[in-house]
Amino acid sequence: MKLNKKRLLLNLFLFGLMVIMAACSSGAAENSQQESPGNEQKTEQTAEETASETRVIETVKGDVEVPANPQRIITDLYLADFIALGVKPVGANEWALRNPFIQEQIDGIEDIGAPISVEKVLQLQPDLIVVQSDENYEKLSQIAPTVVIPYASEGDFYGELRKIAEIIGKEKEAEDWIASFEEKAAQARKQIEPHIEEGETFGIYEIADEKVYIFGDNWGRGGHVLYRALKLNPPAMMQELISQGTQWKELSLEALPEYAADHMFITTYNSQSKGPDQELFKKMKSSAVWSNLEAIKNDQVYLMNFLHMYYADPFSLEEQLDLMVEKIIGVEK
Amino acid sequence: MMEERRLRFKTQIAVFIALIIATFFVSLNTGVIQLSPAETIRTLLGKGTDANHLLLFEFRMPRMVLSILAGAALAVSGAIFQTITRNELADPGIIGINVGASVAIVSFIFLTGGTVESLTLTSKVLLPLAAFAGAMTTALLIYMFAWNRGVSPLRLVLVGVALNAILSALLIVIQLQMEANSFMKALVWLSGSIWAANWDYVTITVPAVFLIIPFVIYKSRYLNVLHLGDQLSTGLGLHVERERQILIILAVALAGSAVAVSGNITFLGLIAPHIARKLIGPQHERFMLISALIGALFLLLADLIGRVIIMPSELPVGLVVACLGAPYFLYLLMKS
Repeated sequence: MKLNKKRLLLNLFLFGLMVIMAACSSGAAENSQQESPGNEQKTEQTAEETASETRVIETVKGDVEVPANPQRIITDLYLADFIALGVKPVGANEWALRNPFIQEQIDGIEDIGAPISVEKVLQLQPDLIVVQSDENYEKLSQIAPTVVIPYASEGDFYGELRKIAEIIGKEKEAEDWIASFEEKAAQARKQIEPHIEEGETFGIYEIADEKVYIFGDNWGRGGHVLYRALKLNPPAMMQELISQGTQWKELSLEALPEYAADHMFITTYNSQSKGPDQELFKKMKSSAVWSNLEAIKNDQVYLMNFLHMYYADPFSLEEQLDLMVEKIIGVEK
Repeated sequence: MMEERRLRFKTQIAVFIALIIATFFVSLNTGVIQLSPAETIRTLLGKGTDANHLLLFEFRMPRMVLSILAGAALAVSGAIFQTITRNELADPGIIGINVGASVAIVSFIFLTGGTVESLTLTSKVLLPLAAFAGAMTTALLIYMFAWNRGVSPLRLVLVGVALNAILSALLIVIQLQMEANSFMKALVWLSGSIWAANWDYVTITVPAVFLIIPFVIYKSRYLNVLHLGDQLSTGLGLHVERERQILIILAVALAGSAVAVSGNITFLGLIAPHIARKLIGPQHERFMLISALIGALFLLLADLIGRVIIMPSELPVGLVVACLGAPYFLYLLMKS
């Protein structure tokens, strides 16, 4: 009895193994006979069907050939940029989808997960992938041409927008927007002129989970708007950091007064709710260090909504411009 | 009595292998993209669409194979440690091997600045190498500190736990220095994640697993004797120190290889041998093999669950293992 059982199991196992081996080898033979590039791994709906043109883009990973007229774009964080340029991607990550300024335009765009789910991306059958992180770059490249644009790698926000525009051939739209934004910025500068004094400093701070950070002119949170568009001055210490290439710094409570500005824009962030935290600011405001700051005493501290200030894309920048100007001229001297 | 045990052994092997194969196919068929069984078979035979081929062979299969290999490696490593330290709760993670590998990985990411340029090819090979080196170095440190004309199992564990604490602190220090991008990368690795799996990682791990595990099973005689205690072992003619050294090297090599490609996964080295011992007894020839199979199955399942439970996002496999293992632990605690 026992012997039979053993034999049977062994035979079953070997048989199963044989079947699998045979199947695999015949599969390999078939693959090599197929005409289509079996292991080239482009999805069925490739650019070859829609447009036979491609262009070559220089990326940090080398040159990448992308379709001239991509129809199905997947991005992780550059969603709003694409929408601003007139193109609607088919997939983005949840963070980008929470951008409050594009809520009307994101109908039907799918969440690709964080970390990016390569399966989800495959399912959406993209013909172009533009991402900020290089996670799973190889796997994504096998699905569709993939361009990686690391955070703040293109100099400043304009550079980033131009890069994205270059990839999809919308350079004109990008330049148009930049020109119009510069005009808006010039108007905004005129608007705030009567309300600020020479040499006044403006700072951007974030209180995240009880830690305080200060930001420069190229790290989101309205930095570009405040310092480049409105051409206002950061506090001296921060200016030094910026000129050294540092865009953010965590501040201890002792260091805070050194980095404080005459006008302070503050956002709060709670990593658990992934959003602003009203209670946090109230708590910190009453602490000894904060209440001694000039800005607090002069009531020149502006509490902003994290979700409004975090993003850096055409929509957000325009809104942030309006928001910041509002706060500044709301203070009568 | 012996005959019965023998049968149960062979049956157990068959059952576990069958379970592994079954889970393998279920896992192959499951995910964000749902293929019908027919489509799956067609793709396996090489007649599927390019997209499906990509899905199965490049996305899903490497991680499943890696789960099996890493799971087996971790389980056997844990089994060796449990025998050497004569402590059923030993696990390479507890004595700091995992943390050592983590420190190496995090340092590597920190030093290379998490820069995107050029590093993918090298990082594919260097990252696992760094982890492996980290694991080995940690083991060396533990051994050196525990040395006092020989290394007693107790001292090994104590030094390991202490080193674990120190390295964990070091880990946090390094992490705090990192920029956001690198930090995220490190975090992903640290929570045990197989989604970066690819065939290159498999190629690295296969020799480690298929050479070391059989060798360990060969060493079962020595393990059986070591299990009886130092004095008895020496009395029986075993060169205790040397054998312990060799076995530690093997165990760390296994744990290091696993952790190198699958990230920080604790608990598996503890649970799998534990369950195996309950099923088949402490005779190492069998115990090792069953541990390996259980480890493989466990990690394969954990990977499946991690992939499926919050689609399209993923739960890190280390987390799933911990979640599955903790109840088992509590159950043990309650029983004792």
